[in-house]
Amino acid sequence: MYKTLNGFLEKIKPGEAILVEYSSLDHPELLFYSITRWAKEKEFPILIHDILDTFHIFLTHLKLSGFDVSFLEKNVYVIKCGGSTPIGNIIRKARLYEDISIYSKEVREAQIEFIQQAKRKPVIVLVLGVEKTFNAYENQPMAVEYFFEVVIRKFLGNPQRIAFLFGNPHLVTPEIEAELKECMTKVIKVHGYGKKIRIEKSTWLDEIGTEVKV
Amino acid sequence: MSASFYEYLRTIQMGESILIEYKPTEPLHMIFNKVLEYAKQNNSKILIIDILDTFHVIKEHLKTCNLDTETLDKLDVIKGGGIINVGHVLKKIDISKEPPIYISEFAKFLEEYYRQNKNVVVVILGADKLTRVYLTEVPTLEMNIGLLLKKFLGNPSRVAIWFVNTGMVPQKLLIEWEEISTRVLEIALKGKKQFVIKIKKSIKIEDHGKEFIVSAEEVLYSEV
Repeated sequence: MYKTLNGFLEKIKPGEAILVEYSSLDHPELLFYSITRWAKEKEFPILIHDILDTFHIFLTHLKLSGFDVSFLEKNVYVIKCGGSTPIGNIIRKARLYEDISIYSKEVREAQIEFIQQAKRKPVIVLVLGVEKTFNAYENQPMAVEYFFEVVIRKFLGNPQRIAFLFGNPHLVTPEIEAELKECMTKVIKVHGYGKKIRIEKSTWLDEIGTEVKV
Repeated sequence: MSASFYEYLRTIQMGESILIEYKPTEPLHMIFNKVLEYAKQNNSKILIIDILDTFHVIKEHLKTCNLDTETLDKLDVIKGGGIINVGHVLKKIDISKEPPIYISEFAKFLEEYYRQNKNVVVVILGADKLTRVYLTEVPTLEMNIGLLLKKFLGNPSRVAIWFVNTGMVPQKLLIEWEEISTRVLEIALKGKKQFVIKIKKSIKIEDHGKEFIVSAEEVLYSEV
């Protein structure tokens, strides 16, 4: 069993989708930073879904803590979903508040295109602010289901990418949280305000309950 | 499987409707595998009702553990919604229509299937999502799957096993569902390598509250 975060990351199989849970008082950007550093070392392309400026929030917190984020400002690709602060190389803007089928299509197409052109696989996809997508369509359960169907479940198992979904579960309804967690191959929870993570769910039973430092 | 749990499963009679409750972080793929094991030991014909690609989720989860998914590809499947075909898909039903319409399409298909196949174990995956989608209506079971549940209850051609993610279903609905079911099993992971299966409800009242420990060992991912 691994003892470090990198050990955990190495064990992830292409096609997996991992939910990172945190609360409003945590620093999930520390984990985000460590994952992007690992991806950079491995030369995996990094694609960020930036929903409603969550990327900007993460980056600002990191900068204020003294981290060097220049590679995140220059060498990552971004699908911008709503929001007003552009960071990174924006390959596509997806219209969050349009019809769900338009939004889903834009997100899907951008991701598929990026994956096809990527010179090295798997692509590391980081979705920042996943709960914001669900909140935008909170009163339309069929729209939410549609999004699950054509984006989340459709990409599950695609061996050309690994997805990390960052979200605050307190911001979605319990049913959506339940549906999301069921679909994920792993669920990790931020502990110690961001210094550690604990594996709450995994398809690989052995690693459930493991804690590693970020 | 542990001997006593296996003995318990052997008491299941044709016509029963069994509810398997689990939480969203439980290893659904392993619980599903255990149910498949039971059906095979019974020499049953297996039919999967795959709602909104739940079967795909299970298959992908099994793949991450290097577990065999070839058997899944050969199983008979009827799909309700969803866009990813897993298994031998016999029919696709459009669930964006009104519930009474798609329910009767399911019923018609199942009636025919049970005429042609006996000793069927039908495993329904993702019905909990159906209840969620129509939650803008009065969220009673009757509105959507209640009719299906009741229509085939007692049909001697089959045993029905319904998987329910309890996080996705409002309490009131779950209670109605439990009421119709002949047995209710609650499955939870205990530690890392064992399931606890709690019999919440059973045909024989003496079984209520019994707990079985089942090892997950034989389906474990081994470190290479």
